[in-house]
Amino acid sequence: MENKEDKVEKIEDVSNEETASQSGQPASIAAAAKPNFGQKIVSAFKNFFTKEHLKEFAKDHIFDICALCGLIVCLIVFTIVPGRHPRDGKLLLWRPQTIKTLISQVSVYFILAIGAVFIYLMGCMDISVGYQVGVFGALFIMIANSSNLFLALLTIIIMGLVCAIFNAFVGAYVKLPTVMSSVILMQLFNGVLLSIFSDRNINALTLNTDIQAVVGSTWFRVIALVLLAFIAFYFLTFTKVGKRSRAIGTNKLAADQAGANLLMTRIVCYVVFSLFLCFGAVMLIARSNSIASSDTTSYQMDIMIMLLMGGMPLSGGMKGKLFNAIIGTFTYVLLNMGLTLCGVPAAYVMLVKSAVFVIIVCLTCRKPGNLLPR
Amino acid sequence: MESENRELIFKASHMHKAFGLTIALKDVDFELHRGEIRGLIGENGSGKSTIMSIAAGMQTATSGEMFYKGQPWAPKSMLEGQNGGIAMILQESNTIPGVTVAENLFAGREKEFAKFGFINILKMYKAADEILAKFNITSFKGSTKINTLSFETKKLIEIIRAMEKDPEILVVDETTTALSFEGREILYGIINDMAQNGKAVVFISHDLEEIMDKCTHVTVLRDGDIIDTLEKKDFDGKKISTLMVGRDIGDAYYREDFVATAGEEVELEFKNVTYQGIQDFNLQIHKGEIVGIGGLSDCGMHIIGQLAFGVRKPLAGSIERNGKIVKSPSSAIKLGIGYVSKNRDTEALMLEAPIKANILLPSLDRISKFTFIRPKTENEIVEQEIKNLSIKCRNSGMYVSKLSGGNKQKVSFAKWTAAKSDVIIMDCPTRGVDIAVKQAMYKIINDMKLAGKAILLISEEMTELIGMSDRLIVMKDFKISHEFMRSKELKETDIIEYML
Repeated sequence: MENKEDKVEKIEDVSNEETASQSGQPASIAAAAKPNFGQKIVSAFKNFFTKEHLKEFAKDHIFDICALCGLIVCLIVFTIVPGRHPRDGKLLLWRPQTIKTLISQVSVYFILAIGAVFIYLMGCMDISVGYQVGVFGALFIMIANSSNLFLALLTIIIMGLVCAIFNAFVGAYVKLPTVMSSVILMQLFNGVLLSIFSDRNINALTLNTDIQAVVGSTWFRVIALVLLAFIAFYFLTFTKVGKRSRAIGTNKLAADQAGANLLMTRIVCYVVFSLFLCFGAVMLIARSNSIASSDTTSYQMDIMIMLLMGGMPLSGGMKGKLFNAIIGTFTYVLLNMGLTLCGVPAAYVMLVKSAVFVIIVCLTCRKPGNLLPR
Repeated sequence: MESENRELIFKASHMHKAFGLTIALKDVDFELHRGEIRGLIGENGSGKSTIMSIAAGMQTATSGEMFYKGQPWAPKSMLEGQNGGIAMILQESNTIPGVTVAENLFAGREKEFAKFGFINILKMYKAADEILAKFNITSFKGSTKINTLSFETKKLIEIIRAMEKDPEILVVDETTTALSFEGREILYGIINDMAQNGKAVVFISHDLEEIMDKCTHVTVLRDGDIIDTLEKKDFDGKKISTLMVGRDIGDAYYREDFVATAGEEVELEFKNVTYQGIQDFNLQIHKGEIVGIGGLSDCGMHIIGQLAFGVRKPLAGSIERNGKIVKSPSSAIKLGIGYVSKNRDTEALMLEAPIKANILLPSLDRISKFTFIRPKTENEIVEQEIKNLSIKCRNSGMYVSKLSGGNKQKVSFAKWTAAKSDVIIMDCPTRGVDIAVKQAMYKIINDMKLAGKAILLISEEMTELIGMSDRLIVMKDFKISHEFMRSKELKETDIIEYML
C-alpha cells in the first residue's frame, strides 16, 4: 500500500519539477505549495535523489566529496594496517590512549583551522600562524608566571588584534597581497621567538599554574571544540561577515561595489582569526602545561594542507565552508598518527605529507584561478 | 553575385547540445554559404552563440555532425578551429593583459620574430604597426601597453588578431555593442570585404536594426531551435522580432508618454565635481526622474556614473544626497544609491556564486538583525526578485556563471531592487541583451521611475536614451555639450551633432 502511494507521489514530483523548470520557476516553489510538512521533506528527499540532481550535486561538491572520501580511506587503512596491540589485542587506532592523543592533537589544529577559514574564504593566506601561536604561547606563560592568567590572556588577545589590524591594513591600503603582510609578521615573530628561547638557552617554558587538569582534560577539549565550531558556523552562515568574506573571495570588485567594505570585512575576519590563534595557543599549552620552541613552527604549512585536504579552494569564495576545516583537520591528524602507528619514521611521514600536498594541488589547480590567491 | 557564390562552406546536421538538464540546442540543421553575411538572432539562451562556438571549437556538441568545405569537421579547441579557418570573436574580453598590443596580435606566433631564441621586439612592433595601418588605426601603436587602452579598443584588437589568420568564416558574437563608433565602422568594413571575397561571416547580435542593415541572410533561433531563415528581401523588423519572441511584442517598447516629468526633491546632486578631465561638473537628479547621459564612450560619462556611486573619489567638489556626501560604495548603498556597472561580469556580478548570494549582497545591512540574517527572509526576498524580474533559472542556488547574458543582467538589477535603493545609476544596462529582455528592462526602469526612484541612465545607444529619459544630457570631451528635454520630436541626428 505504502509502496503504491510512494510511486504516485514520485510521478507527481517529476511532473511538478518539469512544469517548474519549464515555466522558469524554481522547483522549491512547487514543493512549497504542498501543505503537509512531512510530505514536503519526503518530496525534497526524492527530488534530491534523482539521477540528475545527484549528478549536479556531485559536480558542485566535488572537492567536498573527495575530501570526505579521503577521510574515510584514511580511517579504513589505519584501522587495518597497523594491526592489533600485542598485549590487549585491541585495534591500535581505536585504543583509548590513541583516541585521547588524537583529540589532544586535533583540538589545537582544529581551532587554528576554524580561525583560518575566515581568512581563506576571502582568498587571503597567512603563513605566520606557527610563529604567532609560538609567541602568544610563550608570552602567555611568561606573563602568567609573573602575574596572573587573566592578564596573560588579555595581553595575547591584544597582540592578536594588533596583528589582525596590521594584516587588514596592509591588504587594503598598500595593496599588497595579504600573504606578504604575513611574511613580515612571520619574520618578526620568528625573531621574538628566537630571543625568548635561544637567548636564554632554553628549549621550553613551563607554566607554574597547572591548567592541564582542567583545560587539558579530554572533556573540556571536546566541549570547547564543539562550542567554537558552532560559533564559527553561526558567523560563517548567518551573518554579514561570513557572506561578505565569501563574496570578497569570489570577486573583490563586485563585492566592494555591493557594499562589502574590503577593509572592514578584512579587519573583522582577521580579528576572529587572531582570537582563534590565541585560543589555540592556550590549548597547546594545556597539553603539557608547557610550550617548546619547536612545537609550533610547522603550523602554517599544516593549516594550509589541512584546509586543502578538507576541500577548501585556496582562492576562497562560495565553495569554502567550515566543513572543509573539520574534515581536513581529522584527515591530517589521522594521517599523521596513522603513519606513526604503522611504524613509518618521522622523516618519511613528512615525505608522505608533502606527496599528498602535491597531489591535491595538482588535482585542484586544473581550473585556472582556482587555487592561489589573487 | 548570389548565384555564383552560393557554394556551401559549412554545414551542421542534427547538432544537439545539452548542459546537464538544460538543452541549449535541439537537433538543429544549419548551412552557411560563401559570400553570405549571416545574422543569427534570438533571445538570450536561444542557442545562437552555442552553434557557432561548437563550430569554432570552443565546445563540443553532445551529438550531431559538422562539415566544413565538404569534409567532416570536429575541432577540439579554438586554436584548431582558427587554424582550420573558423575564427570567432567572443562577447567577453579576450586580450592578454599586461603586455603590448603587438604581443597580443602575435600571441602564439612569436617564433616568426625570433632569432636564436630571442624575440626581436622591434620587428614585432613594426609588423604590428603595419597591420594597424592596414585597418586605418592611428590612435595607438604596436608598442602601446594593452592596459592603457579602453575595453572598446581591446575588442578591436581581438578583431584584428582574428583577421590576421585570414579566416574563411568569421564569427562575430555580440561584439558591436562593445565597440566604439569608429570600431564598428572598421568591423563593418571587414565584414563586407570578407563577403565580397567569397568568404562567410556569421554575425550574432541582439540588435535587430543592425542585423537587418548589415546582413544578407538572417536566421532566427528560439529555445535552441532554428525557427526560420530569411533572405534580405524578406527582412521585416516586426516579423523577425515576432519570430524571435514567439509572440507579438507589441509596440510598447520604450516609455509611451512624451512628457518630461520629475518630482521637486533633489535626490542626488553633483556639486562642482572635478576629476581628471571633468571640471566643475554640476548635475541634479530629482525624484522620479530619468536623467540620460549620452556621448562617445570616452567622453567621461562612465566616470560620472562611477563618481556618483563612490567607486572613484572626486578631486574637488562632492556628490551629495540629502546633504550627506557619498564617500565610498558602502556609504552610497547606505544612502540608498545603487549602481549597475557597465562591466557586468567583472564588477557587477560574482559569477562563481549563486544567484541568491548576488542578489542579497547589497541588502545584508538592511536585513541583518543583531548580526543574524534570517534564511527565510533571504529566501523570500530572492524568490520575490526572481519572480518580479522573471529571471530564468532552476533555483536561486544556481551559479550566475551558468545564466545567459540577459538573465545575468537581470540579476544585477535585482540586487538594487532588493536593496530598495532610491537612486539607481545604470551604466549601459541593456548592453548585450535581446529585444524581449530589453523591453522588460525598460518596463522595470519605467516602473522604478513611477515608484519615485531617481535614475541616472548612462548609455551609448541613442534610441534608448531618447526613448527613456526625461532629461537627456549629451557629453563631449568631459563636458556637458547640450541638454535636451523629453519630446516626441527628438531625433538621433540632433544628438550626434553635439556628440562629435
